[in-house]
Amino acid sequence: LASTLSFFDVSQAFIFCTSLLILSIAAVSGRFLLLSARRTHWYFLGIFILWAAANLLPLFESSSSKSYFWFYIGTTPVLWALYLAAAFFLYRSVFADYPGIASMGKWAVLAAAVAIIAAGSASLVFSRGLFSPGQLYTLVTTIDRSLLVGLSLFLVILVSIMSCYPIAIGRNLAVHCVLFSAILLVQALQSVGDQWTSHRFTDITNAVSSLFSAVLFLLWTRILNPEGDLTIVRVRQRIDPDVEYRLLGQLNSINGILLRAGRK
Amino acid sequence: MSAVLILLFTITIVIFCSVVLVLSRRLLPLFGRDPKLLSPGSVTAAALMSDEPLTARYRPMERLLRESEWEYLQHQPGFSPARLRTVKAERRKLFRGYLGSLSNDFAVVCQLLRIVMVQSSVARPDLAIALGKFRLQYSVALVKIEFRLMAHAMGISSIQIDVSNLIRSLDELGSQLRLAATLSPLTPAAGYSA
Repeated sequence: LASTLSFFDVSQAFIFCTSLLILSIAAVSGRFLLLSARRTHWYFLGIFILWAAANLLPLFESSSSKSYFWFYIGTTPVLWALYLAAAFFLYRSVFADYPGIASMGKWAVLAAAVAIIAAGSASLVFSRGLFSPGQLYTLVTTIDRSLLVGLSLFLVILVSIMSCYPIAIGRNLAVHCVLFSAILLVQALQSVGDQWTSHRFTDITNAVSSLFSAVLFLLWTRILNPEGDLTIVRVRQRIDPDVEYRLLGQLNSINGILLRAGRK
Repeated sequence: MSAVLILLFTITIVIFCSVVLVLSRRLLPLFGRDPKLLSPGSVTAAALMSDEPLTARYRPMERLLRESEWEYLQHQPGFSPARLRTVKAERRKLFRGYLGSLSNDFAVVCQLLRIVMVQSSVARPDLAIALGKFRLQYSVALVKIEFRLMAHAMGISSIQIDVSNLIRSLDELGSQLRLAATLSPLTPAAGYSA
């Protein structure tokens, strides 16, 4: 693998993967604009635009240039706000009708908060080569990395709950949760991996994460459809619906008999 | 340097692929595929609500691979070691059949408990904790039994295969479901089709 990598032209691969990523973001944005729920999930359009811009700029400007630095410092906090809005609205949409499992959502928030603090602390303690561009860069990068780790963990837990419990939600909402969490997870892994290697392989890790993200964006584009806003799916159907219906009906009947017998 | 790079790639790809694999199996309806459905087997409403434990039919499992059974058989006239091996293999097959059925019943009770939680109008962290606890207990017991069955197949027949933990988990989870179902009426959830 090492010898293969030495023949691998990193800069060309980076340009190819980034271009593919930008095209896939454009595709998912176009698909998103066709949905009736585009106003409900407005934050995704903001995130797509900023992600596309952040990937487009390094193709024309060096990532060590001043203009790229100020673009990064200016847009990253906006992205945080959009990420938090996305996590909040997705959380609310999934748990709004299910107070019985709301405590699981609260545990997920708690786990994410702990992950954010742990990732932030670990990032500061194990930082190597992070401080060179200045304190502002360090601060923004640390918060960004912590938030990415915490939010991706939160969204993965949210998707796990969705896939474990028989909750009925909009098909497109489930798709947004799954794909957005996967893309954030890729970014979080890239960010952590980049720090582990002291930013020596940033181009390579960026290329790999761009490739993964592009595949996920294309999958997002493929699965989304306008009817999905109106279709309700039960993400995990473990028992045959007829059997479940009969079983629950029988349980209710027996309960009713027991209750009436108890009253007498 | 290359070693670090390879390690980083491997870790990233393994973590990502594991998460995707685990979740994708559960998210089949999103891709228009039908998931593998459980068959309720012995879990009927009457069985759930009766005073007799749900696990009564699994009691024979405790005897199937017991050491004393082999001792008895060995003392029968004309019983050869080859015949004993065949009987042991047949018993293991039977045991695995019971185990599959028990796991199926456990999964159905878990799913019914999840339906109770989803339909509850108040938060039920107690049920979530009970579900997590019994699932963990059941999984640990199942892994132990699988290892012991492997050892048994390799000829270590003196090893004890204890199914009491599995049966207890199913019984206790069944009791939780019985109690929860008595407290709140249930309705089948919406959204069956993908």
